[in-house]
Amino acid sequence: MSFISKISPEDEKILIGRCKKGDLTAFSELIDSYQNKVFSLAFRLIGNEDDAEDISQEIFVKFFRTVNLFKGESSLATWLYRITVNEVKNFWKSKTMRNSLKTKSIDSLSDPEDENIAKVQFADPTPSPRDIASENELLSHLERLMKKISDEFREILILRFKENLSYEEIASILNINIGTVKSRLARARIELKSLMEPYL
Amino acid sequence: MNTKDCKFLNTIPEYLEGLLTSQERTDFEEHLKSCVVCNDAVERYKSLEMLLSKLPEKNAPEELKSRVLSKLKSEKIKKSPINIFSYPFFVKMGEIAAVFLLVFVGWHFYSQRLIQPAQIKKATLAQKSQYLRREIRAEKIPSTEESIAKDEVSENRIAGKLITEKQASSPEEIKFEEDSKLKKVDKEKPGEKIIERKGESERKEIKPITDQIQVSPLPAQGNVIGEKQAVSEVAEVQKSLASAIPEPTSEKSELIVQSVSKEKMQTEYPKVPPASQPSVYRVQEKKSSGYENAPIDKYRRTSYSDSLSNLIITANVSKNEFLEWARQTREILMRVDDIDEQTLRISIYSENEFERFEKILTEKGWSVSAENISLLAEIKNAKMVSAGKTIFSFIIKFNK
Repeated sequence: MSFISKISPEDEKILIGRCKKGDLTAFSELIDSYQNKVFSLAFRLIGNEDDAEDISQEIFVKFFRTVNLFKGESSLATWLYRITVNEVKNFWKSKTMRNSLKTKSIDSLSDPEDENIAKVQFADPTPSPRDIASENELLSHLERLMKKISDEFREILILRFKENLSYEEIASILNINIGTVKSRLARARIELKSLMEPYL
Repeated sequence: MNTKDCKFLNTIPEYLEGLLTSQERTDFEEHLKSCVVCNDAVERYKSLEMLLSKLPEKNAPEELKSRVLSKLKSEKIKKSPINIFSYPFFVKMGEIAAVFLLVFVGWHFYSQRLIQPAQIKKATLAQKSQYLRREIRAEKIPSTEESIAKDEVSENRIAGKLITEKQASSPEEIKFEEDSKLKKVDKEKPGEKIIERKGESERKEIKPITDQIQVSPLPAQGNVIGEKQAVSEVAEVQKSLASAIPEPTSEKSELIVQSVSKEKMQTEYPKVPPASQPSVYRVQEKKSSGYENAPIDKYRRTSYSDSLSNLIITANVSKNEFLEWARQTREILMRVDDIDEQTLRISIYSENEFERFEKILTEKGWSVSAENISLLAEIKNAKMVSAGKTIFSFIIKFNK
């Protein structure tokens, strides 16, 4: 799991216990341990740093408010994943996000990078992208194109391959069954590959 | 070879996610050994997996933690226990205390001037009506015109008490408390004679009120004699009453005796009426203990001071006919105070009984004019505004 805490599980339990009593100092230590992971996941799912920061703030606030409901049956990381995914889904549902994504999609039609890609494709379609793009370039293309696939596919691809969660964990976080996780992943792979095909 | 040529290309994601059956997987793996296109596609899918896993971590902004903590602290302050040293706390507590004080003071004065209907409700309506009827019939305090002129007394009022408490052994029995002593107050004021009876006797059966009332001239200071003392002075009081008040000679001089509870006697009608109002005065002791030896100025002259007392209803019936009905009726508990030849004051103790009174007036054809019907409505509405605690009191004038 990618959400690996910097503190030991025992210390984490103690901190959670203190959080349940309203201890903000203990909560501050938990934030230190998880803030980069939470923010990073939120950013990967949303694709915008400002929005990711706002959502990360809400995630931690929500975690502190509901920490009394955390009974330790799952790991704190899974609990945080669930809160993060739910908050991001709420964000997706908002009209502002929808409008923002639509605007970006339209804008992307005149994206200079896309024009260059088109020129490259038309100018020399035969050379392998692997020959002309380093791994970093591939990653930058991937980051950009990940914003263009559907929220549902982006979510499951990130959880599966970026966060390296098991089918069971994903099913638990997204509240779907494992078969659905696998089939959604298969379709997400096809969509991502079709987008990244020119660069692979 | 064109990558679009192989029919197994769409099978690769399912194969990678383990969605194929064992047979399908075996067949596909067999195909992979010979298909370059599919091998290349599998490699691309896996390279995408690798790229996804290598997406760089994004460090949270430095201010994220401080934003979270400051938000939680602000929420905590809002929800935190009351800071007793804070200015708003004192202001708020002061406001609450002021409200409680106002409510307490308001209730105190309110309860001082209102009748407690619950006392009346303890007796059944029939018992009340029966008692009232007997009371009206029996209690005829003599007052001729000659004697009035002679004594410079224009009105006599006698008040009795009815305590309708249910006894533990027999809930249906009614306990009566009757004044055993009359007090005469404000002798100096011409045209008035203010009388109050104080004391009580207790019986299990209802008897005419004249059997129960013993009156005597009040002491000079208007003291109220205690219960035991009152009982022991029965004979003296009777004698005094007989000598003080002449025998009745006409219908006009008839006084209607009202039965009210002990508590009512202590609490009702605290205001002094306007000069324009009919002089229906009573003497009432204050609630404070030790009142027996109090000087006369401790007693307040009280009357029906409610503004509704100024409302006058004109009924199409003679006063005698109305009184006859009032004596006989078992339907309504009301107080009837004689004002003059054509005027009575009616006091009814609850909204329900007021409605019955209104209905009976109409049924008997005594209904008042349209203008006066609106007055009835006005009385009813006004009393409802006053929380239904006060009585329905009004003047009724008889046309015939």
